[in-house]
Amino acid sequence: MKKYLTVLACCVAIGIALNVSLQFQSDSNKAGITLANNEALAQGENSGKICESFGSVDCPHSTIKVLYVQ
Amino acid sequence: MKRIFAAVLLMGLGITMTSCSAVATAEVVVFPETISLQGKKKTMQDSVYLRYPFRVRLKDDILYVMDIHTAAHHIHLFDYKILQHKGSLAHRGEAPGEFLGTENIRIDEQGDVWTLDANKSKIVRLVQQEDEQPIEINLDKKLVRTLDFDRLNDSVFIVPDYTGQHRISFVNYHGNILKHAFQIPSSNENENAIVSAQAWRSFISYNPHHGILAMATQLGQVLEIYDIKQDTIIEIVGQESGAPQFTNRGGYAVPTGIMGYSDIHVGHEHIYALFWGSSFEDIRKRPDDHREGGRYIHVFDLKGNPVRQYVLDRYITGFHVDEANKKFIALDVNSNQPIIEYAFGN
Repeated sequence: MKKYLTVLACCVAIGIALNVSLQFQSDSNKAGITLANNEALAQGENSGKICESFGSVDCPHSTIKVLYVQ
Repeated sequence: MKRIFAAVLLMGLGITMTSCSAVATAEVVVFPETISLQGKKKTMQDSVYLRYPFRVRLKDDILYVMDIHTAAHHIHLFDYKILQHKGSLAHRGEAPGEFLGTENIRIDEQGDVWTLDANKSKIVRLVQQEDEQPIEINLDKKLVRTLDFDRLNDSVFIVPDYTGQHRISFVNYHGNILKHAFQIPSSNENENAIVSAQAWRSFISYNPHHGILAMATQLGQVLEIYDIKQDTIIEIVGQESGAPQFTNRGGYAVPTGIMGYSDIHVGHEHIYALFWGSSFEDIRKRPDDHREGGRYIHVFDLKGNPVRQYVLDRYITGFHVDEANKKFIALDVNSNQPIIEYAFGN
C-alpha cells in the first residue's frame, strides 16, 4: 500500500512539474512575441504600469485604448 | 499493466489540475434558454478600412460605424441597403474641431449625430452638411473624465461618474452638472474612490420611452438597472459574484479579472448586453491566441430577470438592436468585412 501511494504521489508530482514547465516555456515565448509585435506600448512616467497593444480598455495614462494594463 | 494505466491517468490528472486558469465561466447569471445564432456577413462596397469598429447605429437606413483606432475619421456613414460609403465624420487629430478619440455615437430625433471625446472632455454634435455648425459642449472639469454618454432629453445628457462619489451625473447643454445620482454598487467601502470608479467603468444606455437606464461593467459582470423617472434602483445583477476584480497600483485600477460587457442597449421590453468573459490572465499569457470581442448577448427584462442568452458564431465588439425587425447588426473586429447581421426572430 505504501509503495502504491509513493508511486501515486510521484506520478502527480511529475504531471504538475511537466505542465508548469510547459506553461513557463509558452509564457516566455509569448512574452517575446508580444514585445516584438507591440504596436502601442504606453508607459507612464516612473509608474512601471504598461498598457499593451490595441484594444478597448482605457489606459490610465494614455489617450489610446489598449488590450490590457499590467 | 494496471500500474502503467494508473500512472498515465494520474499524470493526466496532475496536468489537468494545473492547466485550469481562472476563466470567467462562473455562473453569475443563469439564463432560462440559450440560442445559437449564425451571422450573415454584409459586404461593404467601398474600401473603407475599419481598424477597430466599436459602435454601430442604424437610423433611417443610414448605418453609423465608429472606429476607435482610426488613422483618419472615427465615424463612417453607409447606406445600409447596399453598404455604400456615404461620408465620414469626426476627424482624428489634436486641432480644434478634431478628435483625440470617440467613445460612442448617439443620434437624436432630428438625425443629428452626437459623440463624446473623453480626452478633450467634449460632447459634440457633428456636422453632416457644409452649412451646419458643430455644437461643442465642454464638460465641467469636476467630472474629471467622462467615458460614455446618453441623451436624457433635448437638453440634458446622462454620463457615468468618474470621481467615485456617485454613479451617474446629469449634464446640461452648457456642460454644467445639474445633479448626481446613485452610488457605485461596490461592497468595498475602503477602496480609493477614483480607483473604484476606474474599476467600475461602465457602458450606459437610456430609453426615454420608459425612463430605464442600464449600466454594464466593462471589467466585470454587473448589470445595473435604474428608473430615472422615479429615481430608484430597480436591480443590480451580479453585484457580488460579478464585481470587477482589480488591484490598486499607484492610484490606478489595474484589472485582474475579466473583460465583461462592452455594449448595452435598453429596448422597449428588454435589455441587451454584449458579454466577453475572457480573463485578463489568459489575455496577458496568450495575447496572440486572444480574439477581441464577445460571443454572448445577454437579454434581461426591464426588472433585471434573465430572459435568454444568444451565443454568436463570431466575436463582436459592439452591436445595434433592431427590435422591430428582430435583428442585431454586429461588429466583427477580427474581420476585414466587420458588418454582420444576426436575425433573432422566431
